[in-house]
Amino acid sequence: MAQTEAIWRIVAGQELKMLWRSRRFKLLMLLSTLLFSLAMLTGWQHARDYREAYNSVMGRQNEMFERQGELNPHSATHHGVYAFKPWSPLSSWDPGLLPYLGSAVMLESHKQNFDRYRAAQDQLSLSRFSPVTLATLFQYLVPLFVILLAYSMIAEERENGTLKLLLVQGSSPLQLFYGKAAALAIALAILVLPVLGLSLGLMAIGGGAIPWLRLVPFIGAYALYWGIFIWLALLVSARSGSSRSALLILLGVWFINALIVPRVGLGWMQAQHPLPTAGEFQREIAKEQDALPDWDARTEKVKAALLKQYGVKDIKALPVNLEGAVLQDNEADDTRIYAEHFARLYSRYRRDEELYSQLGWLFPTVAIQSFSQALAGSDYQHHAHFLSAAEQYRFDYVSFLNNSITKAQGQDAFKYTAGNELWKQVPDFHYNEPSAADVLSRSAPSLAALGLWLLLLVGATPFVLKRMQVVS
Amino acid sequence: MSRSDSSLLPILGVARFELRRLRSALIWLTGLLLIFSALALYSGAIQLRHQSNNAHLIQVQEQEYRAKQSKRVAKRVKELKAKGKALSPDSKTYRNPANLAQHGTPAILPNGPLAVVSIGLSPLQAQSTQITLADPALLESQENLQHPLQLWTGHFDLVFVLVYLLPLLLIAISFDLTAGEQASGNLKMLLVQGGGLQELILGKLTARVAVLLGMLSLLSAMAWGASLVVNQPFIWVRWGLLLLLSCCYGAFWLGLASLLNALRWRAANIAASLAAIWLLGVWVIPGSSQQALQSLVPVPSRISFVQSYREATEKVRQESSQLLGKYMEDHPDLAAAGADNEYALLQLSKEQAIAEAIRPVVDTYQSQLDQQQRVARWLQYLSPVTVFESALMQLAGSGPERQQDYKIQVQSSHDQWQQYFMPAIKQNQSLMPEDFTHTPTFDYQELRLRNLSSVLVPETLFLALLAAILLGYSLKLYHRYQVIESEPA
Repeated sequence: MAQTEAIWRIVAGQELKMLWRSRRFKLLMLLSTLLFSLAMLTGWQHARDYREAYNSVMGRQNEMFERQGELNPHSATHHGVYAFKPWSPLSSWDPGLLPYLGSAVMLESHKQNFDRYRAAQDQLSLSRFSPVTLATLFQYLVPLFVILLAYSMIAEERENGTLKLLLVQGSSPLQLFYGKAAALAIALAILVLPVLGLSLGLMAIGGGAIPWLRLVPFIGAYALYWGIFIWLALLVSARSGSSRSALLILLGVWFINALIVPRVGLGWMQAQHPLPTAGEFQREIAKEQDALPDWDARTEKVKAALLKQYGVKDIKALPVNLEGAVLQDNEADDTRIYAEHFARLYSRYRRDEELYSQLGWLFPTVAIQSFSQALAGSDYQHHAHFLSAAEQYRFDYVSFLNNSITKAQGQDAFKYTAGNELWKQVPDFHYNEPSAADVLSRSAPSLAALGLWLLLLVGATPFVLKRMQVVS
Repeated sequence: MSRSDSSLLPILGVARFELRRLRSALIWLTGLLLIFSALALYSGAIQLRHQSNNAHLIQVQEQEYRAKQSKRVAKRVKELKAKGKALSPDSKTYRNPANLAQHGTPAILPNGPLAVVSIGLSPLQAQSTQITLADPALLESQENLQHPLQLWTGHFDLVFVLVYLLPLLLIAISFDLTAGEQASGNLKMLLVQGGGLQELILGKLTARVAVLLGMLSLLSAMAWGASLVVNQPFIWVRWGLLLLLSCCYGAFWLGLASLLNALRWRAANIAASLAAIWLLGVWVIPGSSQQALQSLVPVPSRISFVQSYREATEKVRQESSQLLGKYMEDHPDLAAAGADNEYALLQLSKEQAIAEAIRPVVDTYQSQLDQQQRVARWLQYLSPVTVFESALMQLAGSGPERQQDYKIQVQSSHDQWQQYFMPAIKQNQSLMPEDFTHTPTFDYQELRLRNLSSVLVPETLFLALLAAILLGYSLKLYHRYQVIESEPA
């Protein structure tokens, strides 16, 4: 056993020495370091700018709302407030869908609005591929780094005849394999660990708390993902007829994972179940709103209910303002209609995201993307959680202000005004993202897919190596 | 037989031989290309239908609104006539021209000239803008519903196949142009059998150019067929230019593969290098340029922009609160009596004040965006992939230039709208039923190729020149190529 350990260590040491001397390794390290530096700095800068803007805007908005002076409370709901989406610390590592999602949603009476102000609307035409972020480098560049180092590791030994020599000298194929895998893992660690350390440092300097409960599984999942590529690259190198064919197969695997599956998979889902158009969506809502009772009919309905509730026969005897109650009744109907339609649309988005993440069982890049975005808070589920909290807040604050009119018994509901005391009583919007435990339990299948992939590859290794050709 | 004929024949002979040698690879690659192109065109057709349906619905809704309002006005006019009263001015809100002017007219951006081929940035761009009397900075644009996950992954369209996949197919048949035969010793054998190295290389390159042309012909037939199926016009001039650009782009990749082979590298090293160059070209250079540019020339935060708008609105509201009761401000349609031009003009002046207050923020935003675009236009020349993609999106009408042109046309249409309605509002005239069919309408005038030439010509020349340099230099290297030498690098 001790001898086995010694052999794989010797192989790993030798491989590392060779890597260190190779021009290919130095070039890849240089390029990767430059890209990681760019991704870290731009990610940090973007997070800092967003946080500063968010803090400033939240303060200014709250102050503006509380000092709007004498105003009709229902008019105040028409002026509305904005719910701004806070920055999730790990999203500077993996911005995921965030550039394609609105950063703010207008909260006003009578309707639920779409989130607006998507960063991608200002997208330059330079790149249609993913932006250079830590996550995209982890997902695309690191596997390519592994492939370009590993494709020839065993195949070339066979082509040069050194593989037979090594085996004759007493190494087993498995020991050789483990040694080479360890060398690749160390080379990768040399590249990635400083990046992780510096990124954590930047996160700490930024003033935000480091979300360890999300960070540890986040890094763990990437370690599994890179492990899959190390194992796969070495197995392909061991089984291929030549280093050239090993390279072509591995590049094909990378290409299908990174480029083809995400686009084609999602495009296919969209083709099977097309989304409604914006016009159809709004038309359906308008149709249901048109079917609601008009102001007079609603007043009659609310009046009858209130008279019955308070046991009086005349509206003058009511302890509440009838028009205020009608406004709130109207709001409840509008909210219900919008809620039903938006819920259908958002659940459609969520379902597609879940279906897409199931492709992770077949394609590890999809699994890591789903898991990484979920942990970074940059997936659609997080956005839907934010929108749902914002909508709940909208209904609560609109109801609070409408009810303040209802309480103003005997006044003209539309001429009645309130002052800053009332605005100060309206609670501010505070959003808390889902807990790490919730996210982990929801994303567990993606993590399991990565684990299963690695297990299968490790389990298949002895069988693959048993059939490995020693000479070309 | 002339001298040129005698040198051409061996080249064609080699080309025929190469095509036979590559036959099985070509069957696979053509099959892949067919599958990918069919998927891409299907995806393009789905997106095109999604956009067309939305545009159609916006138009239908507008027609319904106008028909309803026109009927209402006709009924009122009939009543007034029956009572022998003056037809104008009328106190009814729905007869106030300001009412129709502020309802507006939709300015719809139609699908691009080659929409089935390129989806490009169109899912992120405004498809419709409601032109009203409001300042153009405040006009509301509408994008169609798009799946955020699909926006993130990007669409799989034919431009994607041409820009990203075609080079890989060409790399697959060219990375061992001579490297494999050099390593196995077959190159020496081939030359011993007669013919020069130059003829051999030219023959091999001719075969690959023929493959490229064959693939492009296949794509042309498929794209034309797809446009027939989705009932969209197929603009052959634009498609022809697209093919010309694709030839230059394909020649660039062939030239690159030829150059690396001429350097006597090993086939695996050439494949790895070409894959790395492809990745640099499609992702690393454009992606990092974009990130760096957005950091160096940042646009102000969008959420700060929202807040500035809110503050301007609130300031104007507080200043105008003396003028009209809040009830009428929030529910003008309920205010049957007294809703006259005073209210309409107040609304206009308020919008004007808001627009003026936020203009500095909008201007800063726009000037930073313009600066980004200007620098991006130069930065794109760092990668031939970006140059090619930009040219294709312009030809297909799915890039930022068409959107910019659309905004300019919306602005001009807004001026026309204002000129049409303001005299009637000021003179307190009332709408007649026929007015609902006589208002100005927006009809997007497609950007002509002449307007795009200032961008397309340099882009085409750049790609052609790059391909010529690479092919020329590789042939020069082959001229000095030593078939029998030490081990290749």
